[in-house]
Amino acid sequence: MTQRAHHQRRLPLVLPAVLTISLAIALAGFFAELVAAPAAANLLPSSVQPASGGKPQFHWDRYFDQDQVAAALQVLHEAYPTLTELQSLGTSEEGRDIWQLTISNSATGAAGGKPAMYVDGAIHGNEIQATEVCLYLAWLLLDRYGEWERITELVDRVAFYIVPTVNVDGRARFFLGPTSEQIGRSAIVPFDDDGDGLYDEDGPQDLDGDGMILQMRVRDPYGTHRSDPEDPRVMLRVKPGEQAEWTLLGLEGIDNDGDGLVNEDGPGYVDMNRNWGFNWVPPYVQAGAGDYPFAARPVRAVGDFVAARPNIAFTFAFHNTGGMWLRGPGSAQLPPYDPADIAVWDWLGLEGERTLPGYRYLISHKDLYTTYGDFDEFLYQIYGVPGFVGEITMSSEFAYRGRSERPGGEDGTIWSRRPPLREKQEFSDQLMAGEMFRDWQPFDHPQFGPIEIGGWKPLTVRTTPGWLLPGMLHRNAMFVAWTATQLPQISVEIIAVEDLGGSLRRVRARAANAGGLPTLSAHARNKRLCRHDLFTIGGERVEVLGGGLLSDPHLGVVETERYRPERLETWVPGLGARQAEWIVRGKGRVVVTYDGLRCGKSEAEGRL
Amino acid sequence: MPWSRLLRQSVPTGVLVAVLSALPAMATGTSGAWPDGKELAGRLIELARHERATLHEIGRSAGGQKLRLLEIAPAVPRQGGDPAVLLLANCEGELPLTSLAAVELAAAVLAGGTETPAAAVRWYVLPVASPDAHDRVFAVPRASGLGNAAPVDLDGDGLEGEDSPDDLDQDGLITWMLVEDPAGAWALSDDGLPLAANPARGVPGRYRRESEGFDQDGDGRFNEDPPGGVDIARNFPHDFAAWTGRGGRWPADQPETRAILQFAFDHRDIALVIVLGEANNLYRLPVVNNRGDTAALVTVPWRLAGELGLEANAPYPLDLVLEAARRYGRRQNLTPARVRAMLSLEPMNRPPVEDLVWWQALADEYRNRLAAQGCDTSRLAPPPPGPGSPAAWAYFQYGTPAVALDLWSVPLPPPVAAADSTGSPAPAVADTSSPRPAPELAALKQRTEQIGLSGWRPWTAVTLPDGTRALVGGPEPGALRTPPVAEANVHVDALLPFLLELPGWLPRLTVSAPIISDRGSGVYEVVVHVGNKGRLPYPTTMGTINRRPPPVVVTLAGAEALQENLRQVLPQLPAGGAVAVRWLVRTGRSERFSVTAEAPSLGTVTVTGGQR
Repeated sequence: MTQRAHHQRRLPLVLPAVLTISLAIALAGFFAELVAAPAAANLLPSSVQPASGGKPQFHWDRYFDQDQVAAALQVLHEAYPTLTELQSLGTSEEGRDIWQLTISNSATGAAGGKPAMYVDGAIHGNEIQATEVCLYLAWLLLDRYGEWERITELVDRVAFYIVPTVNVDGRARFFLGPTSEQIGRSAIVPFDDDGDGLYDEDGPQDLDGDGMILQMRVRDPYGTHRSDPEDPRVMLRVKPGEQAEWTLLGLEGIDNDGDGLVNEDGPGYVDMNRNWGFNWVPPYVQAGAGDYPFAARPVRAVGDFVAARPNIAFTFAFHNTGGMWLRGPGSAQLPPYDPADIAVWDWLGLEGERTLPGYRYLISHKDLYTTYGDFDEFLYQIYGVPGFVGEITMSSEFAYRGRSERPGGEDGTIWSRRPPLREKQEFSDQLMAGEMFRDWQPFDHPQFGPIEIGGWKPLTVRTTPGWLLPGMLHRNAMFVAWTATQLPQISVEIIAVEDLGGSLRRVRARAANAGGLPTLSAHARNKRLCRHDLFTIGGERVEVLGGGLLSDPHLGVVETERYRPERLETWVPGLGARQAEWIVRGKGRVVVTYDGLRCGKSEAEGRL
Repeated sequence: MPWSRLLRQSVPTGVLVAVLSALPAMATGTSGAWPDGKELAGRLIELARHERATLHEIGRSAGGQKLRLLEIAPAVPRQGGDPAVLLLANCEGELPLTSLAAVELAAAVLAGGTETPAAAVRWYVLPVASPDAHDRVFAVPRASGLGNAAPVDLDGDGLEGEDSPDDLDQDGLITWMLVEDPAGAWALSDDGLPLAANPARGVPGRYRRESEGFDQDGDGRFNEDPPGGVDIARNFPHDFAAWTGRGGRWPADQPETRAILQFAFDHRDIALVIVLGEANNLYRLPVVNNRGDTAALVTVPWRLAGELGLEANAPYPLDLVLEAARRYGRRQNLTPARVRAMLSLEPMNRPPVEDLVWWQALADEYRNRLAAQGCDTSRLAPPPPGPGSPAAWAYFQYGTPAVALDLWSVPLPPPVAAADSTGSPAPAVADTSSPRPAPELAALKQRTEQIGLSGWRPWTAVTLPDGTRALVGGPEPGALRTPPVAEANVHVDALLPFLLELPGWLPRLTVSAPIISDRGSGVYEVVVHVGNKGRLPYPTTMGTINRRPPPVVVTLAGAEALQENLRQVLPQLPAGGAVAVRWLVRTGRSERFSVTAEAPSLGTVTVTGGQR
């Protein structure tokens, strides 16, 4: 038996008895109000209400647990059978389905033949509202189909591939047991985080049985923090010359393995957004990287899904928190992105900032931190597909200030837009009836002795309050939808047929792109990551003698192609066009086709 | 038979007769052909009948073939587990000598004595790590460099394998093709060897070099996308080279690689990885990381800086940051190892200098062994493990010592030295006055023409479908790295003794008798020395950095610890050294206690102490 398997059998024996009791305590208070309890009598969760007229309606001011996510997807698929396909991409380490919903009008063609937008959420299972964004997007596209002209046109023309929850195990854990806002980030894969030969032996625990995992502090005049004199609930780090009152002890828990550390080796840590195959590095360099790329089953499942869909032209991966639209590179060691691709990102990023006021369009490694092995870098570098990481929820949502009061910030970093903690307390008091924070309460810790437990409750730090959710969801979904309208959209026309004498003809055709995105990114073209678009000509009685693309359509300068001129490899920029010219011999029907992986196929017919 | 020669050296005659009669002869030496996949599989099945051997299927190749791994238990199992050696052979697929050597080694282990280093460990032997590519050695026509059976679109045109090589001269081999082209970059020497053109030095280009075939898909390029897959020897996660086609699109994207990786991570008793292939990491030592990374300046991201009391995005020496983690990060579990993983440092690509000590010793032993057998002649230098190689992965990421060895490359004539006026030979100086053919091609041609060994095809004139004239010939596929089959036994015999002795280098765990000091009031200080009698540390210094090898855990049972944890973790046991482990305990006058040291690849050692 391997060490890991051996430990998995031993783990329950080291949990203290108090844990087994706390696991039986139902979620209480503030947390329960935000999560609708699953319906007992039928499979339909109470957050999903079939309205009259057959259109499902949802409560968007609360969070869906994983059972409700699955149910919502099923409800949508059953309500819109011609516009949706629902499948499981496989199962997670704990046996949960990874659900994927395709939205595309089957009457206008197969989804695989259309340009596609890929959207996912919650690859970090604790970043729960990413799932709600995906669900809202799906509902919006379907609910407004036939009512909003642009949405109708979009669903007819484009395919949406949506995976609302990638880390189904982690997100399920967030809802299932005593939780904190860090619970569920990792894949539930045993990993020896502290290098002591044991796996997942020391994680956070709900010591006081309140259904939440909060912070611990101990009174300590030689510690690191003091209470804010204006609001003793707030903990301030002491500066030189200040007397401390407290030492923060981290999340609730005990030193299960007696190594002098608390909660240093909880469930996981394998970060599914560090487990992708481009620029992957091992865990000693990138925490959470896993044993090797695609070792985590959901990563593998999504990876296989994406690999089989070369029509994906853009991606959105939703996370929390910070109010950001991020793009790569994820590491400064990578070659810089092509300026043509950056220009597209810059344009979209500005639109994203406008759609979500307060959001910032940022570059991962430069404005945030270096990451290795992440999803969006993989999609861009391996397939040439650009995308955004959307970091939902801004700290400014917790604003409570007058017009003349400026936002606070104690550390001068990008988090300076976060209001000071006492402002957040006031927000909680005034707008949430104080329910966001649990006051510090004494507790007799088996190892630390008399301590206090309290702090910000789950769903108050990284997540948007329920009553603010609908607006946040709508704005994010509409940005995705608007971006999808910019996916390449090619139309072909034969613009000229010139008689050269005999049966010789010069045929000129144009492929025009009505979408703002190019048919292929510069990176895809430069590295030949996929097949280039094909601009072709043919006909039953047509023989192609020569041809090429026009480098100067005005002067008619042709870059002739010596080999296989009937099949020209090319691409079309956003809101641009490409012209080609062929010298052919023959008569009758001639067909010019533009066939791109990410723009579908368009044809024009003529006669020689 | 090669293994029979070994047997005669170590096994009584009666046993030898019994063993020989039970095991069928290898095809080598009888049919004059390399054993193909089926023969090797049959050999493994035969060996698996031994009571210590078990045959496993650890996965399937891209083409659906079984990955057959032979497990050989130690002759005398140790308490708490045995160290294991993982031997991977022929990840490239087209080095049949390495597969043969792996099978011969397995046979030698099973047939050898029970007191040998080889018999003291568990073996996991995978003789054919890339069975699809291995099959290509036996395909007609035979080509090289095609990898496994995964579909690969090398030219990014959306098609796979649309332009394959063609055997224009019908000799069953895909060799070089020199196409007449005045703009070409190649020429032929007077003795028919290809050389790079250099018009400035009077060697104009006359040919364009392609692989044998013609432009099947009419795109102006020759054989640019033959049917072929991924080279498994380049598909491992360390230093993976993206966008190269034959290495795979991303690390471990091939089922063969994933099967090996998963097997390795599921078997933490593996203490040593041996890779038989094209690369050799003992022929020349790697460049080491003398400075390590502790002198480097790092910037601390904002999310970490606050916790450690540092300034965000300002440069600090790494040492200082790690010290801050020790002092201020404990409550947030920001141990130095965790902080290191949050600093976005680059992965190690050069071994730490401390590991050079044992690496040098291994290399010396390897060279001495070959020299003793007269097998250290000048030859085409084997490459070191390159991007995506399994040996580099094993050392840098998996955390074990890793030995990469090739078995043969084409012999080269020693450089000719001119005598000076004193009569002593002057140092040989390369003649750079005119372009010369690559020496390994010259050596291969000479071996074929003068000694009669295969490896070089004379040039044959052909005319391509478009009327272009070309010459087909040159080195046979794989000839630079695979000897004629008739020589196989010699090279396997040369390397086997070294391989069989390698387990003797592995760490061996010892625990001294406890030293007990009575401090009064029932309090005692207990000290044991946990030692390592092997020639390799545990783990390697790279292993202490990547923290993948399970640590040595030392546990005291039967007494109450007043200071130190009952369970202590040792970061490293030096080779031939020991580490003192101490507890201050309280125990009754008549109590006995025990101290156990253990690690999955070192087994378990327990000592007892206390009053009787």
